[in-house]
Amino acid sequence: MKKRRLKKSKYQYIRYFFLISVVLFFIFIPVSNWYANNKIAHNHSHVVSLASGPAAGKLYAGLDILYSPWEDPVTAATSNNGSLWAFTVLGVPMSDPLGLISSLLNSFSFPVKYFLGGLVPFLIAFLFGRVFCAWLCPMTVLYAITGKIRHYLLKMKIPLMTVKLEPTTRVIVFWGGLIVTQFFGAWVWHFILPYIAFTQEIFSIIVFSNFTIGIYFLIALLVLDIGLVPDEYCKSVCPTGFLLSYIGKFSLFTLKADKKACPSRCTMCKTVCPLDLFPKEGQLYSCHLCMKCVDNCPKGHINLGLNPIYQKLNLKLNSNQEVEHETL
Amino acid sequence: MNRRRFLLALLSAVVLFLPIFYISAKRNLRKRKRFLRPPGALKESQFKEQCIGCFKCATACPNDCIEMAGFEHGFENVHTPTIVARSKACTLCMRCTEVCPTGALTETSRDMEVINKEIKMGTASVDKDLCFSYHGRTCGVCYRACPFPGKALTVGLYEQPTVHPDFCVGCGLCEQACIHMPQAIRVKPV
Repeated sequence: MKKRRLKKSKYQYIRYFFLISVVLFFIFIPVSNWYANNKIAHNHSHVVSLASGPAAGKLYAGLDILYSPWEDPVTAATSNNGSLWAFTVLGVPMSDPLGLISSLLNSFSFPVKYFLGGLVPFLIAFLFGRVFCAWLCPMTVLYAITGKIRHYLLKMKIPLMTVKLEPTTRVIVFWGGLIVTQFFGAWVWHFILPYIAFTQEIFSIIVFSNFTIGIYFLIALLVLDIGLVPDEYCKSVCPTGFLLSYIGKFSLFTLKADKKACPSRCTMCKTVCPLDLFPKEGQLYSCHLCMKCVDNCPKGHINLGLNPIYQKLNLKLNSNQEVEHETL
Repeated sequence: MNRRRFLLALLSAVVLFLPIFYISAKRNLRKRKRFLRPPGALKESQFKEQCIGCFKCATACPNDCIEMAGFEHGFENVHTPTIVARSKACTLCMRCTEVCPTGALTETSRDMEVINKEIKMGTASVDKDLCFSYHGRTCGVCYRACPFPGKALTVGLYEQPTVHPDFCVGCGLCEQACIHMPQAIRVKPV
């Protein structure tokens, strides 16, 4: 049976723009680091081209122009730094929320910069819930590619397994990871969360011309996604996804379906949802706002709106105002 | 999934890791692996607690000398920063201490006096059996590489180097510069 092509709207293009920007940013960091190293070592694009080839010389010259407004190009080039575990962008520190919790439990200390970095991620999670997963996480790009690879392998009649994991797996991974981190340290998360390994391996290959051990974990995960447990990581394994879903329960905005207007037997939104959620019926706190249901609802009944748990609060405030008005 | 199965799964996941930890700790004690940390690092036990392995020090280092350890230094040190002085030594620019978010690397100013007082990555030590200057050849390359010449490293006849441990910060520039193979001066990490 021919699979119906999913509709694409402007949401998907904007979403992939954000996703690709994040990947490009974490390529830009090691390239800038490479530039800073060459600035100190050689300080001229011609010398760089003699040392590393004409392409390197041209890249160095380009970065020279980019960093020319700054007084100290080396400091400017290293001012954006880090991996998705903790990084600084345009002087703003950003920290992974799971890392913050793990670090707090590990050392019972509150390093100021590290915790300030949690402000923006927690704010975004409080506003939109698990939006990081579909709009910012670089693994979404990789899983889209492995999804396509799996699709073409299946078309070529290559037998691939489809194993479904229980959704509570991610709860075990979350708590298990927190416990194991007490014994070993923060590095355990680097072998559970592939988005950290991805950014760190990009840095290693560009700056040191070799991978760290994280690459084996990343490749294993991608191969498993193609051949054994497709689309299961984000759904059932990712502990950051679990944490963000938990915060997403109380998020200000969620996707809402106008259930009363939906035809009774229509399950289009459930069919297209990559997380196996049912927007028409159920709880959407695991929703990562990929907007596929919004694009494909035949009647356009799904929209971003105020979280229902806050709607009761809104009504209560309004009714109080009306009573006051009458007594006046 | 009921609560009992959940707890059993959790327990088995944790228990699986513990023997690896035990074996790795024993191996480390036997081999006594020692390695340099970036400047401004806290005491080792505190450092391992604070360091989250975010790679910020490595991405901010303009000298590309900070390497993130693999399994070679044991399980507790995976993805923590180390410096291999012989391949690339620390130029004491202190950028890593500025960017470390958790304070595992204490922020230190770039003033040379402050650096000499605050930083202690290790102490250099000369192997007189290898050093050219102690065998009738004049060398002195390590003295010229040292950021604190005349203080941390002094030279005598034939440029024979003498390390003064009180002033040596352990940056490893001498070890990187040494023209003997293997290096005749090396930094012993703290």
